[in-house]
Amino acid sequence: MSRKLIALLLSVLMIAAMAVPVAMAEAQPTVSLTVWNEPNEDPAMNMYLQAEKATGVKVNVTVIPETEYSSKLNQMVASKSDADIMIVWECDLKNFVEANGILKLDDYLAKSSIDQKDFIDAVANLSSGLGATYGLPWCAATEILYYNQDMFDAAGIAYPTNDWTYADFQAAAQKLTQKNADGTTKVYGCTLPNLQTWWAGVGAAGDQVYDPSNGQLVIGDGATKFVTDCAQMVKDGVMPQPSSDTADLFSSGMAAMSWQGSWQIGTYGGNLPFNWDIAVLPKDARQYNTLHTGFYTISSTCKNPDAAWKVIEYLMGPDGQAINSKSSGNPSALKAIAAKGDWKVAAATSIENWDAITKSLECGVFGYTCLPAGVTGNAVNLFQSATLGQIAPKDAVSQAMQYAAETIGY
Amino acid sequence: MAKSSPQTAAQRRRRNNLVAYGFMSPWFIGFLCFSAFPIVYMLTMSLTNRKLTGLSKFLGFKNYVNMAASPTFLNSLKVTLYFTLVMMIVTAIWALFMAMLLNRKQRLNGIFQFFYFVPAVIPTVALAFAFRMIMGADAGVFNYLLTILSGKSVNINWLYDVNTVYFAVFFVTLFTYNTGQMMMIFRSGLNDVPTELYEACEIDGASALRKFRSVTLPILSPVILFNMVMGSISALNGSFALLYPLTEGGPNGATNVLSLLIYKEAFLNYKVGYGCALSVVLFLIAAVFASVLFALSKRYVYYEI
Amino acid sequence: MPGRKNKLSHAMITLLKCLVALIMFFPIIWIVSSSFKSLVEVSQFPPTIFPKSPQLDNYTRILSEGAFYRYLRNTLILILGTGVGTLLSSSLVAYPLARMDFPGKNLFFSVIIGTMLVPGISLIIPQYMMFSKLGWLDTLLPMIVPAWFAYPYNVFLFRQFFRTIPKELDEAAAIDGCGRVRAFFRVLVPLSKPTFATVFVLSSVFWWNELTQPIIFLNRDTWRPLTVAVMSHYRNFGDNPFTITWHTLMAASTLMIIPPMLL
Repeated sequence: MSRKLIALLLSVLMIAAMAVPVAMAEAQPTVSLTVWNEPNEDPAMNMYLQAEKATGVKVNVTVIPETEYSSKLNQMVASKSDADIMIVWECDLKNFVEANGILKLDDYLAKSSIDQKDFIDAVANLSSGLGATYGLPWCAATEILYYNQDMFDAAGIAYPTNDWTYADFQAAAQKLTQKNADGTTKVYGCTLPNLQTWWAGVGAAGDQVYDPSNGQLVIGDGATKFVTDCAQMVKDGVMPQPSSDTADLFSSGMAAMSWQGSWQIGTYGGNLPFNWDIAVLPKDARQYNTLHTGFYTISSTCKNPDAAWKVIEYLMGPDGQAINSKSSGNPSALKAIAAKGDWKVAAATSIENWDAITKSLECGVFGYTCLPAGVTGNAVNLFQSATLGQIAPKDAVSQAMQYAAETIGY
Repeated sequence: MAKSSPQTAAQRRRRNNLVAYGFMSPWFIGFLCFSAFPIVYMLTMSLTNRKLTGLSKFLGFKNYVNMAASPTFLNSLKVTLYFTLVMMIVTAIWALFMAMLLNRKQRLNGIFQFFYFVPAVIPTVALAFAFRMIMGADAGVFNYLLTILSGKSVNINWLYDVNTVYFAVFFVTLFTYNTGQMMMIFRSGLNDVPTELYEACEIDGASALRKFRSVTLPILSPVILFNMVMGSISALNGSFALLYPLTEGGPNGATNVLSLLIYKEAFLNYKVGYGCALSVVLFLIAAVFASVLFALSKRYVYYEI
Repeated sequence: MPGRKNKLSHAMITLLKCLVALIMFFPIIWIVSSSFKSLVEVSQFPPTIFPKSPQLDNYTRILSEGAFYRYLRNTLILILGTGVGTLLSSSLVAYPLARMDFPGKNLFFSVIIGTMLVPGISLIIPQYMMFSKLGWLDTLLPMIVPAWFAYPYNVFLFRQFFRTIPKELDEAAAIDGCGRVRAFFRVLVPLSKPTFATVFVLSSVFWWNELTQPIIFLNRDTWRPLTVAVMSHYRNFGDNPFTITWHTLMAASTLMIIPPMLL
């Protein structure tokens, strides 16, 4: 009797064991996704949640701290750990392609409703450099000029237009600087370029900055000129010295202008105690700024690429892009969707010149962001040293180039 | 005692050795898995051009050759030696100073100890960020206080001026976990100094300085050695956690110590193979420091009678 | 006369102690005061020590969220797991090095010290690969397990301390018929209580603040300790993903370390 019972139990167990994998296969498909900032707390603004609802694919979001994001992702590719959808930074796209860490998306794209020709030019250039499309940009942030309208009024200078030249900018900065009795500056004409906007100045002065054909840093006379100008402006007290404190001089009314990323609009919102607006960065030898984005990619270790593509398709579609634009304040990289204007931050009532963003996108490129962070960080450190007079601008540029040559093509 | 059959000396020694190895077995296993294997792997990686994504090609000694020709590396070497030496000495002196202040039997000593140790408890990154704000040129508290005290407007750019950055950085190292650790160890070392020796000195009419030199220092010497070795190791291997958020390598490479360079090359430039080669060099430097310190110890360190 | 001289030097030393205390405490004052400020005020110029409009908002937001307690639990698990492991293993390994004679003793000790000399950052990548193959990534195991196999630093500490305990006690125990193991647990350990306490405190503080290893070895949120949470979750804690509110959490975590520190 007991033997029969045992046999019965065993067979039941075996059937159950066989059924479980079947049951699991019919359960909801799941993809994991890595990103560096937390999804929005508001469910309606959480695009991953909405993607789940729309596609029926469960999305597990893993947030990796921004400071470690790039290196973590690289290590994950090296160890072939799981992460089905990775939102990849520009500098890593090429690396992952070389390491066969991400899949080509061309086949999926051909069958989908996303219009590849509608992407801004910079995206097309990047893809052609890589030989295929490996990633789709989740938005397109750019760099613009912020200016304090009240100060311009007080100094009697006309507001910057989208065709402002570099010479106009320098003249205005000089006039807007207010000094104390002892010669120290009370209000700066413009803040020092930051980690992102140094490159905007260098590129505008004529340097190529990034050469997609060999991945090299290309700077020279343009950079020397721009760095020399900034050094002079720091010396004259028109721009502040590079400093370690966190004070945002523009928002606290200590600087009349600022070159920053377009995402600051969202931070400023309606909080600034003065009238302000935006404009395209001043034109020197050309108009130039760097685009910032993250690319949706499918990992080559993904067990269910079709499900992953469904999610990406939603996120790149009109609904997904609308949510992204609204919550981040950045326009979509698809011109038709961007034209709808969801990215205009409602709280920033002071802004009238929204065209500045659209025009900046047109002249924006994927530039320094494609270079390793160590190289660009090193270059900016050298530029800052030059503004403090610690080394000559020409030497700063040549040292930056030398370090880049040592690093790239390793 | 339960074993009535007498064991030979050799058998007893065998048994003794086995027991010793038994006690040490956790270390054996741990060493093989968590130290030896990664170290060997690292050595082999230093002979390749391995990238962070895992792609790798054998290069032989090319990494080392490139290193020797790189001005960044040579500058880093110089800065590392200077930084390590000074940090080791400065933090040890400060830790000893604090420990001695705490050595007196005072009622509120517990509170003082708390205040002295509490900065060590702050995560290094937070400490660095806090000091970046405190030492800012325009909006920093340091300059603010100095302006009030001196009447003139003080705008020193502590962390960006090559002349002041070292002072600023060494000042910050006094607040790190390593300094606090040293202080605790000095404290327990000072407790072990027999008070009779101090009393004997006082009877002989010795000054405080003489007491310190002839009693405290010699008895404390093994502890000083320990802390110096620990201090140099932490300055060499661990300083990047403080320096990266604080100065990112400093104005014009002035604080670009080797451990920071390794972090940058391996994790920010994706050159893992090169980073491993740099690590080998760093290890050699650490070995030299440790050997020099141990060699000096034979002359100066005084163990229990 | 000597009495008066002592009183003066005593007072001066106390004054000195207070001065040093103030200096050491300064960064904490700064962090705590920042934690009560609003985002705009933190980047104001000139800086203020006493916030103009103090707000408990930062704290209430952090403490009312369930995630905080999960991070705290993870950190505590980490501290306990490593603390107990290191006490046990480091003392065991230090015992023969301090007390017994056996072939290779000096060699082993040199190797132990030698491993301390290897830069930690460069070992991270091979360890990452190893733990990835073992499937330990995304758990606290890569940090807790090595603690049970003796850290060189603690071995060194224990050895230095064990050497100061007179050997007669060991011999007395041997006469009483204690095996080595018994002698260790019954005799040496009770005498070393202060060292055990110091090591536990130092280890706890170390892991409370450790950022590098958890960031590398952990991906998902489930096992994240407080330090990593500060760098990611609390860094951009707000409607806009670019605001930094780390100071709030830093104040909270510092305050939480006060009770053990008063020991």
